Amino acid sequence: MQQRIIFLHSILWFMILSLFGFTAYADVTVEASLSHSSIPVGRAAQLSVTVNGASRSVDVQLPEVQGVRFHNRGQSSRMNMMNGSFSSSISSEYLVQPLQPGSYTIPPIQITVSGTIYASEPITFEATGSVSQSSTSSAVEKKGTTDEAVFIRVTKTGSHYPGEIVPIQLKAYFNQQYRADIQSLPVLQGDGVVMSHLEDKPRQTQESLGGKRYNVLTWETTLSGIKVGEHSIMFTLDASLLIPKKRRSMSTFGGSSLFDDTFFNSFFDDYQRKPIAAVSPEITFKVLSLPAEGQPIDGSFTGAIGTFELKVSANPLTADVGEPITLTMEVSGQGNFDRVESPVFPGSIDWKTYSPTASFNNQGSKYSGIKSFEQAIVAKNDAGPEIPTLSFSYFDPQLKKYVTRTSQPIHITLNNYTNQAMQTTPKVEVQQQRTALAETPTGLPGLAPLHLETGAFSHTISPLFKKVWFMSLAALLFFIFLGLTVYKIRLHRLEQHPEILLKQQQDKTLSVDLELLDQARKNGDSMAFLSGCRAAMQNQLGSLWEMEPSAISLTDLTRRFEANSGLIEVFAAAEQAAYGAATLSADTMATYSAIVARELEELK
Amino acid sequence: MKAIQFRTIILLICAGIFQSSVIFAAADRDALFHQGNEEFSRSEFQAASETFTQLTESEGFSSAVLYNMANSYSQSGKTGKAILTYERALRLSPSDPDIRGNLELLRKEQGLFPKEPSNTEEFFSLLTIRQWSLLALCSLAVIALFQLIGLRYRFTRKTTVTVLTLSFLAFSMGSMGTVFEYRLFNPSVVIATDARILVSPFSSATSIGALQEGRLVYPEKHHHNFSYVADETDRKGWIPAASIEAVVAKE
Repeated sequence: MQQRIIFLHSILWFMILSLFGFTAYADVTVEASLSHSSIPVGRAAQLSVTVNGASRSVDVQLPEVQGVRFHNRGQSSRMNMMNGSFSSSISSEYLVQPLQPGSYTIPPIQITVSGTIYASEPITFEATGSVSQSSTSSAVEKKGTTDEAVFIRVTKTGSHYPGEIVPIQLKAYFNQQYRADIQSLPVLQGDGVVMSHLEDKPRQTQESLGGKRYNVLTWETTLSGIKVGEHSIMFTLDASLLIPKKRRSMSTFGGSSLFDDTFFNSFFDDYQRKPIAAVSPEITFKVLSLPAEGQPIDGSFTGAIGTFELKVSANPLTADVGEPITLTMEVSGQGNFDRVESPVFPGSIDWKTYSPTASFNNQGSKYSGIKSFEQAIVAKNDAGPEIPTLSFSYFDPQLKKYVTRTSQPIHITLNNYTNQAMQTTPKVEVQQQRTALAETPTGLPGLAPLHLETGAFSHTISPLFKKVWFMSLAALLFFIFLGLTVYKIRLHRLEQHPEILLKQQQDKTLSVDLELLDQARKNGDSMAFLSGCRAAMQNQLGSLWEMEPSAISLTDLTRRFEANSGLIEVFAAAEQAAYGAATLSADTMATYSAIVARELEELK
Repeated sequence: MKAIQFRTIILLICAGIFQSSVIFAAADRDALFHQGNEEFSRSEFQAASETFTQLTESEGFSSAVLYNMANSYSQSGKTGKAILTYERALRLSPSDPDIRGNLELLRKEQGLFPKEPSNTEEFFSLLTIRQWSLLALCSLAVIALFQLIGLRYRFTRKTTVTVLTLSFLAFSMGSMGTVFEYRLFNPSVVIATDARILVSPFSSATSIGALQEGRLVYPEKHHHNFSYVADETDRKGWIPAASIEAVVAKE
């Protein structure tokens, strides 16, 4: 019994795995569709790229379209099982936002699924002139209702600097009297400002405004100006109002029935979706240019804006000459950490430096935390056993000025400087080297010497396989190989089937014999014609009967063919002519020739 | 008869002019090359690199000229240009130990350490792209020759299977090696000292990080004056096109 259960389990698992295996290798189809074929400038339409038959992640390569901006809205996957067959699909959603009016075509979108590239059909759409907020509202069924149903509020923004991180709060209000679904995350409309990625799961609360209850979705995000100037921006959010379909009266008495009630509507009727767009008031985001005055010129300012602190440490503090020391530089505070770069270690002949590595430890938000840089440095000599001061500059938007944070020099105890290397380079010599190197600071010692012959010149740098001679030779060798292979296959086939060769020879002999016959007939040479007829018949029948052709006689023919056979008549005439002269008319020769040709062909 | 003599004389004159022009061109070339070398030995590295550049522009690429030019760039502190020129020289003479040695030294001095190669990369780097191509060609020649000899002599089945299997294996390896190495044949080199990878193709876009001068990057697409590149650590982003230069420049 137990064995049977195990067996049944195995069968079940096998079937499940087979189904999944089938799914993984099912036919993949790709579809791309745009929610609207006409989009006002400043608004966005939803682009859905669906890959059917793919169960794993897919890589969607969006093409670049001049004047169109794409916003990624994430990927979702779905699996269905219907009538025992599995189907799976992966959908990638994007918002397509035209920047200028005109006609646009989104070229085929390339999608890579398990290493295979698929392409969608191109999509064409029109971008019309921009719409004002009031026109947006008019697109919805009931003007005014929308304003009350869904709207967005944004915290105020003031004047900022390029790259400065400006925290804002986005709130989408949904009137509790209506049922609504959101179709997209809030989208920033406008140029010159970028918004950081919004969280998929906003905070959900309830608020009361003007005596009405609202469900509120709140996103904490940041804005950042990228162009100097005043930018008008707003936020939009696509949503759907769920309006219950009215039930038709089922009462046979007319009037209202028992179920003609909104309560039952909501239970028994399905909903109709009405697309609406929640729009925030237009706000002006002012981006000021960074002041040139006071900007550090030593390269310590890399565009960081905010408030920061610098902390520098080294480990170990006691090392040998040539031993690597890890220099850790920590920049902490609030601001645009993406612009925070490692403080530059001053060029020095006493230290050899390597590229620093960076890591960011955010403290709950993207604009506050600690960015750490680790850099390996090696003391080349014991002449300056001190890590020099390191500087980091930033712009403080509150103080409206540049601030430079400087570390203290770190003393390093260099042991073992009396080793072999240092004994050969005493301090005076090191000092001399420093002076010499200061004059030619960029020289690289230890290079192999110059070449003294120019060698051959070439106008292009191309790999060997792209050279004409290489390709010609490869093609020649390939065709030799191909030709010889085909020839050998043919030879092998003939060796395996000698009857093919025999038949070819037979055909050739018949062809030659019939040609001689024809020649004799044209010359009116009856003797040669009859002799040729006899030879042709003997040759063909000899091969067929596996006999010596010359040994075939009229007796053989009469024994093997029917009495009325044309061949017997011709052969008899030919034998008779062989022992005595014979003269045939042209018509008779033509008749005999036709008989011989036809009947011998039939015998093949 | 006179016409034949006249044609012969014209032909000889043309041949003489052509030969002398070739000789003069070669002499000019050598003179410029030696001038560059002399400038280098006088530590006039900037002038030397300019002379070698002039020679390359007029005569084309030579591994020796590119190598000397790269040395001049190294000595004048132009790491990006030096690495670019060493890489170009390596494309012409992949097994030249001087070029390889100097390039390695420069990279080591500048802390431009390459990432740890994968097993596949390590295997295919056993031979250069030229050697992989030659392996494929030679194995194709062996296959064709074997087929040709097979017309005259009859080989045993064992010999035929052994020779053809080994040859096809070598041909496949050679082809795969060529394709694999060709992907890395034309990187671009960062020649700007303050290059940064940006998230978008405009100068005020957010920076992903700095790119050290002399680093190799692999451009994938272009947009106006920016190139979308992947660096050796697979970081991807936009970089001003002027900050990089391709090892094999487009004609």
